[in-house]
Amino acid sequence: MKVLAVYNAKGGVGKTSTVVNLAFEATRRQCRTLVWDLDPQGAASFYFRVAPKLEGGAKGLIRQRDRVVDHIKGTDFDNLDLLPADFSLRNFDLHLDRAKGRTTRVAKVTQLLADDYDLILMDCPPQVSLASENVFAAADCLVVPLIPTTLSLRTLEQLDDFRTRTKQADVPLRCFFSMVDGRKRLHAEVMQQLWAERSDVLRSAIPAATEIEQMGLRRSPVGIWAPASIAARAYSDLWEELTSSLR
Amino acid sequence: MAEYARMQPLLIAVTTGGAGDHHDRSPQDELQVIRHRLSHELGLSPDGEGHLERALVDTFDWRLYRRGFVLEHERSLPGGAGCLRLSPLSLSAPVVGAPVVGAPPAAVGEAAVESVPSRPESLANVRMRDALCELVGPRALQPIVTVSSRWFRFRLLDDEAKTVGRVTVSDDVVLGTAGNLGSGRQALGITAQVTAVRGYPAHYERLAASIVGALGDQQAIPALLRAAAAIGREPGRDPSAFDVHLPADATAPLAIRLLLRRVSEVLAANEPGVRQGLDDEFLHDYRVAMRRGRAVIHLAAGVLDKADRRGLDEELRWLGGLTGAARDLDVLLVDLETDDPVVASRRADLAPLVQQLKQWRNEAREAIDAAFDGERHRALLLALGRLAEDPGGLSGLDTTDGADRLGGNAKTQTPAGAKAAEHLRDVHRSLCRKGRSAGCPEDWHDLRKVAKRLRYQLDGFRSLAPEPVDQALDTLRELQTALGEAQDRAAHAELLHQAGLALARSTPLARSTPLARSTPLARSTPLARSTQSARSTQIDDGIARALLATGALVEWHRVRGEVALAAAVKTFRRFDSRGSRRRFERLWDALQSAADPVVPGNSADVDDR
Repeated sequence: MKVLAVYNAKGGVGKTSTVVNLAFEATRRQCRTLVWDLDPQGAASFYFRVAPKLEGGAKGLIRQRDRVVDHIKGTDFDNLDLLPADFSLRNFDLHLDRAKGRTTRVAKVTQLLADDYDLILMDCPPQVSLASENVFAAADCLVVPLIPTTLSLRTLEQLDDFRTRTKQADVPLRCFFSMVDGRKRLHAEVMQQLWAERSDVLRSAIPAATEIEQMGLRRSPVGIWAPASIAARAYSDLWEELTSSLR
Repeated sequence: MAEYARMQPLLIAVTTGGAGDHHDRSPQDELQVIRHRLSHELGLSPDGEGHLERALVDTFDWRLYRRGFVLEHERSLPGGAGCLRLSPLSLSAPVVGAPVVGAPPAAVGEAAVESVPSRPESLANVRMRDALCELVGPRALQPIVTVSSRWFRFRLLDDEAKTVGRVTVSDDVVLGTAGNLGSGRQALGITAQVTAVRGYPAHYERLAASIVGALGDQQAIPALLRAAAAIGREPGRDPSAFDVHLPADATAPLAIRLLLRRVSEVLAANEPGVRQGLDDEFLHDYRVAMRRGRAVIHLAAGVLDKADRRGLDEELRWLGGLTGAARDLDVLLVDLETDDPVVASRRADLAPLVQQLKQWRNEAREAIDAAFDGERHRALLLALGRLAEDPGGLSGLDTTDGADRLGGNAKTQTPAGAKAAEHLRDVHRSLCRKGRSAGCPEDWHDLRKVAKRLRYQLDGFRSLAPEPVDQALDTLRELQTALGEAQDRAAHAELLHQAGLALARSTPLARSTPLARSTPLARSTPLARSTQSARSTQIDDGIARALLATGALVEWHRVRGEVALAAAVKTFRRFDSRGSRRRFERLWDALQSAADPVVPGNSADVDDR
């Protein structure tokens, strides 16, 4: 089982749509997949039409981790399940802080699911916190969507810094560009710069596409209702490049 | 766990009937009625439809099924990609054949493959590959039966338009055995499968209740398993198992007949696999059946005509000799693939030797094929079949009323259990005597053969006294395994030695110089090397390394053989202990009294004896 955490401390960079579409790509390839919606806003749960509710809340998830299987919901797709969000996840840090092994609680939950799934995709909230440290400890790889702007570069530097300070710099990182506007020179320049500077930036990029915006209306992955669209193909390419880079 | 159990898929045989003329409906009309009910009466939403060709895949002896799995190869028609899917058997559904052990969820999965692989090692899905390798062991995967399924699916949606339950309706037709599609088109009927969506147990239960109300309440066996049964295969039953059920009051001729019939069936079942070389176990099981045949014939004194017995035994021994070389080579070649450091570290050097052994194995298998096609083999099978099926083939059998009972002399009227006990007691005593006086490895080899025969003979009477027979079989198996280890080592050492000699004789160098001819190893000496061309020296180096590695392995097997023999001697002492002999005595008593009516004090009488 592999655990991929889609993470960026900055909001609105396309984390949730990445999680939903990558999960769909994984499922299409016969991979038993679980999406864990860790964001109290519950956007991934919304996309999969599952109520963002955990019995016992975030506290229950931490205290009674062996009951995690009871919280998992099937989705509309075979082999794709969801561990839904809950509004109480806004206090996740507090519960983690009070627990023993405060930085490894999430990892202990994912380990319990190792027999049931080939892949766990975590949709992380945009923050730098104890929950983030937990996610880094649980993940086999951090997948970081970046909008090709200078602010994103700064966020990436902050992420590197945070991982170093928390001694989690050895967790592999795979960045990719998201919401790319081909008409903007700045996007092209930032992308070229980062590709030149870093080896962990994937070549596959997700365009700023209407289909991705429509996911909120359709409440399903792009590959379902617009399989031939540029966006759907981009997510497919991203999945291929991501998985082959991790082999 | 409770939720998992409750959410096992429910499979029902669809009966849309009630009053009316539904029996006259074609399958197409029937499917229309079902669609209408699901859509209009139950308010379910369509969720796709299609046409599949599905093959049930398992090993010849149903290793997957017996561990609680179903492996199927599925292809969408027309022209879809193939997919191999491993899933747990639904434990709530009725199954045929042997009971299954619950499958661990970790092992299930799918892998895209165009055709059914004979071995799982090539699968890209690592988890599934590893699980299958562990489940099937040395056996090959093979498609057993193929089914054509026209299906459509409906789903139950909640208020958020999310799927919370599914119903798949399938109309299945047997296309035939895997290698013979179209040989037996047979309708299996229409089934509906209700599948839960994880986390929505209440919806599943409501949906299941609605479907049962609308389409029928008769649980169905999964179509692929029904299809297997339809072509005469019994899921879960090992075709090589010697599971003969003897009636408690069976007479000796009847028992001999039933046992020989099973031998005949097992030989016939395994012969195609031996010919095709699907996996090594076919030949192994074929040889075991043949030995069982000989063991049964040895039991048949006074039942079968002496000349018949001798003739049949002679022919089965011929078959044993014919197949022995290939089996020994199979075992040695598997041994040469082990991860044992002694072998693994020499694997590269041993390549020419392995090549030689494989060539011998091919030749041995060709000889088997030729013999199988020959008159002698055909005559043997006919003779076996005649004795197994034709009561007239057994001396003293009264066939006047068609019953399988003895008439004639009193000797053959004895119940089979009593007769067997009498004979097997002698064999057991003789086995113990032989063991006590055994000294050289040949003595122990002979002992092993007697132990094996006793085990096979005893196995045939398991149904008469299952518990004591099982205990005795365990003891015999332990002895046989210990002796077998010593024998295998000796056989491996001898085969390797022979292969090494053959390899040495086959090299150009060996043929070209008197020195090299005189001893294979001489080719690697400086003198020999100095007289050869560079090319010859290059060949010689490879062969020399192979010969050196072979020599080391021969020695290794000899040493291990001696260790194994010492362990076998200890095992024999346990086998020959007073407690063990007493258990065997109780077993003979149990077999003796198997046909006796149950009367108070019967067992005490037995003890007094």
